[in-house]
Amino acid sequence: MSEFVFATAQYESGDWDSAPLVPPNIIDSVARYTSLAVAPQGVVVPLGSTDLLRYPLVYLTGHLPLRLTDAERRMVRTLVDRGGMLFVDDHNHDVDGAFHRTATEEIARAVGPLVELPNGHPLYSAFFGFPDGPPTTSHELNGWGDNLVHRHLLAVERAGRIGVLYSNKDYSSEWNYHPETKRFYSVDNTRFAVNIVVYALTR
Amino acid sequence: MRFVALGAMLWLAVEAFSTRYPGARLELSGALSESVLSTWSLLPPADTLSLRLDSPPNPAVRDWLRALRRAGTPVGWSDGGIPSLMIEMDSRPDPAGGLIVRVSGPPQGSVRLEDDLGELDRVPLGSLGASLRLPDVAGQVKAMLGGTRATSSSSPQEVRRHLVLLGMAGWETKFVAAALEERGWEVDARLIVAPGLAAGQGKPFPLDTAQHAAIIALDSAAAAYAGAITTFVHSGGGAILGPDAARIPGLRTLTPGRGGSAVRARLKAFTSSAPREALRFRDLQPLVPDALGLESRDGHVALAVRRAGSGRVAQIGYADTWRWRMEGGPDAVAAHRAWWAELVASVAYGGEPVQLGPDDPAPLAALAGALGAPSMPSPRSGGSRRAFPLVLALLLASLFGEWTSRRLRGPT
Repeated sequence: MSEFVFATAQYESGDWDSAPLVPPNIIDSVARYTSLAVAPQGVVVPLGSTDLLRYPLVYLTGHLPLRLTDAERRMVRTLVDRGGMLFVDDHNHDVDGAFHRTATEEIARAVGPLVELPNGHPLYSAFFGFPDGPPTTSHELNGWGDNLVHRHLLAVERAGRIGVLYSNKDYSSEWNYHPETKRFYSVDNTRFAVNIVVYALTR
Repeated sequence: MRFVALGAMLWLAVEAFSTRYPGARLELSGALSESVLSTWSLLPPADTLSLRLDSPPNPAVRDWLRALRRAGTPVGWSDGGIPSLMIEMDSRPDPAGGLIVRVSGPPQGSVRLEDDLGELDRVPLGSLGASLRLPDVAGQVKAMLGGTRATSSSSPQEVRRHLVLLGMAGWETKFVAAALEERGWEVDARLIVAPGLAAGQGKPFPLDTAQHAAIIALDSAAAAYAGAITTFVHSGGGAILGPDAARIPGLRTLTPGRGGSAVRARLKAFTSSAPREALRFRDLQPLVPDALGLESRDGHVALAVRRAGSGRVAQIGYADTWRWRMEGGPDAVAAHRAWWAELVASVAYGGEPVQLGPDDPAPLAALAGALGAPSMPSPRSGGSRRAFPLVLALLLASLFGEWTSRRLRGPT
């Protein structure tokens, strides 16, 4: 059986590599808490390439406006239609920011409009329990970005499962540190990332 | 003595002038219908009944002949060219529905199939007969060949819709479950995500043929359930074993293959007309003697099946069929789903068929079962009738002797 490979989407517009430490941090958490076979190194995959379909869970982030090419839009649609999942995180934490406004528009064009994900969704109990929904980030609580605490994540669902998961919570900033630093946290703030991976692998 | 002899003569006289015709032999030929029963009731009783049949009698006549035979009348028959026709119909264990109709008969024959609404198809027969899939039928299916008609005697069964999926959480387990759920199966899954922790859905255990049609064990996560899986299969359940599951010692009695050497993918892309050529797999050879390889590449077996107890087991060498679904051409999702659905249908427990009515699914075999092998009977012995002249002569002689002895003795 092939191992899980964490994939980061490389798109032609914007700054796709704005959170380079997120992938190794999530890989570390998956290996630390689960018995899943996980590749020690992540990969970067062009969003408009057919190689995208080799990675059914793809992480996408950025600060700058997101404009998808036709090929990128087509591949996102194919990924979701075939059962894959795209996890998009707004690195600005700003609902008036350029990334949010353009990314939500592009997602709607590619696969359909985003809707609020209920806080009782199986995503929040896939591994660790998050009974109150998505965990808050220090960036939300410090009043950065839009100065809002976002109560819900957004999603596009296909046949009862999440096809696109969208976050305004800026997990890209929250998780963008070296895995070794985890030992200084009283509670590991990447635990929700494990839920995302386990959910993608089991639903 | 005189009275005894007179009584015996009186009995013989009654016997001789009764309505029986000693040694009568009735011969019938052609197609026998229920009219033969009324014919029989109008004729004087026969000692033997000889039939020359060019088509099998209907079940009512056949059962009457068997009853007549068991009552003591010799009934024999000769085969005037009845084809050995047989039909069987089963539900496909697949939520998408469908039936499998199997017909056997003389090779090179062509059988006409019909249901209650009319003709379904004409099927040429090979040396192993023929089988065909039908989406649905109205009533029972009949196979017609010449004057012989075989009728399926079982009704389609309702498919058990639950499957059990065991494995480590991963893309293969995820997409196998997705494909089968899209097909209509309820997948009760247990997917291991951490030591002592499993994600899943439904109620996979206890395994029970009353609930589950088959189990799909993809990897070593099945090790803890090897005994339950073996019992389930021997009870009639189906099993599909992935390459890592087949290595579990507790499942070795079920596996069709004993191999495990790696075979590389022949193609790099899944977009060809043979997408599984782009999958690597473990060669299942050597196979156990009763196993059958169903899919191979360059002499290496990638899929094999066998029976185990009352159940069936399929072993696959592929570990990453999900790549075919994700990376294949436009029809990859449907093709991957169909392949898995077919695999499950080939092993899934279909239940016991419900028997309907007295129709003959195999008329010639039923006739032979009722009347024995073709043979012409010898007439009943006739007993007292053949001895009639001799006994009569003896009685007359004894009466004459008794009379003459009285005359010769003279007055005393």
